[in-house]
Amino acid sequence: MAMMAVDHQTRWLEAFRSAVVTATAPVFVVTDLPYAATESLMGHVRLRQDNLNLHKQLLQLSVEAQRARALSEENARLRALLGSSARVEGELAFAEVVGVAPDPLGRSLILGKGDAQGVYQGQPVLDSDGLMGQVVEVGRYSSRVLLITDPMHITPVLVNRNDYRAMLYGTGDAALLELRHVPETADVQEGDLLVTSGLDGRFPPGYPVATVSSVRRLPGEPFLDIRARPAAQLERSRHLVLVTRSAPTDAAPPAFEADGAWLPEPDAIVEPDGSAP
Amino acid sequence: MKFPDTLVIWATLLLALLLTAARLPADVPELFSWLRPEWAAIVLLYWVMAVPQRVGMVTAWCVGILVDSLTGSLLGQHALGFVLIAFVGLSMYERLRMYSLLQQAFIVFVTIALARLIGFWVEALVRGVGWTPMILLPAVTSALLWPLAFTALRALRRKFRIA
Repeated sequence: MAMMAVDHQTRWLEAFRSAVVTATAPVFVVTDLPYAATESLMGHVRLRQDNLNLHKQLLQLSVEAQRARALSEENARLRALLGSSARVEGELAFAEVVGVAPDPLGRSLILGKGDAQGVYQGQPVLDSDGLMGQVVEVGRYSSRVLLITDPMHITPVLVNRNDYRAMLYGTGDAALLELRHVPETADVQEGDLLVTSGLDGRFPPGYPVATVSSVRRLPGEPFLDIRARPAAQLERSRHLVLVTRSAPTDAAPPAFEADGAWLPEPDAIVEPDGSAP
Repeated sequence: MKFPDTLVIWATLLLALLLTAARLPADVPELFSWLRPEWAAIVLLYWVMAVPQRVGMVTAWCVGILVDSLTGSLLGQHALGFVLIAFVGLSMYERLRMYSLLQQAFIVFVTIALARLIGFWVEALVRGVGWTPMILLPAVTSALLWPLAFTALRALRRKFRIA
């Protein structure tokens, strides 16, 4: 019981936890076998079909990328004119989902990359459609990603249309997020795209997180009841992208702190052998 | 001949851990993830009952920590529940052996339900999850699975002459 308290309140057990995670990682390799097998046994015909589709997609995306490059250069020039600092672009790394945590109340995934491949705690995780979540537990060769739909996860977002800031809460339901504490006067509409605000100093700004699916006024309640659908394919994506921010994340103090939200305190880490990292 | 016994016991526990972590396809309904039995608790309870001098609360705690790691719960949450299950098993293993499969299944239900409730209590404190009677579903499926698990594990125990 004391152990639970220590694990919840402090980071002293971090090394032990990461050792246990490393020890249990092979279990997920085994449970992933059927899925990896079906993928590799996919028929020849389907592979060809896939290949064709991917080529088309690649062409389309590279055309869009050309335009994006021009736009981002223009953006950098304009920002330089305005005297504001350029946006930090993250480096991308790829990882595969090897497991899904067997917990109907929470939402997390196991990735097949860990400490050894440079994954760190708090690292943002994306798929091709949007934000998935963040790394909360790192073992040597695997790590755990807390999805944005987990009830412990809160994502600071902007309404893309008008830059209205709000907090997006996970509910534990795979397809449901809630925008809480939004007053009745706020301009949020059904169909609005919510993107990461980057104000947390953790998620890179501007990535799609969710689409508002319903906005309801509850009589007698001070706030709107706003529901949203995650943009990322949280339950289906197998290949994910890890974003490494170029600036060391330890330098920035965690900007948002919510009750029970999973946030490490970077300055309070002491390794078990007594040395500071 | 002590070493192989321990090996067999841990092999069954490992199998239980694999089943605990087993991944369901993305398109099965939510309900199925509630129906998953507490594999590790079942296997643990069997060994505590059959060879209480070998498998006790320390083993239970270790298995609990491993399950915590697999499910991503707070370290010690399952460990606490499993230690409780082992305690119940240790304190009444002589009676348990005399019971019919049906009576044993009932005890399985009660102990696992108790462990689940403690787990829920911890989660409610830490993560603020709301109460749902679904919490107890794994205890029901575990109890239903018990006769099968018991028969299989007993056959294994006799084959390897673990005592």
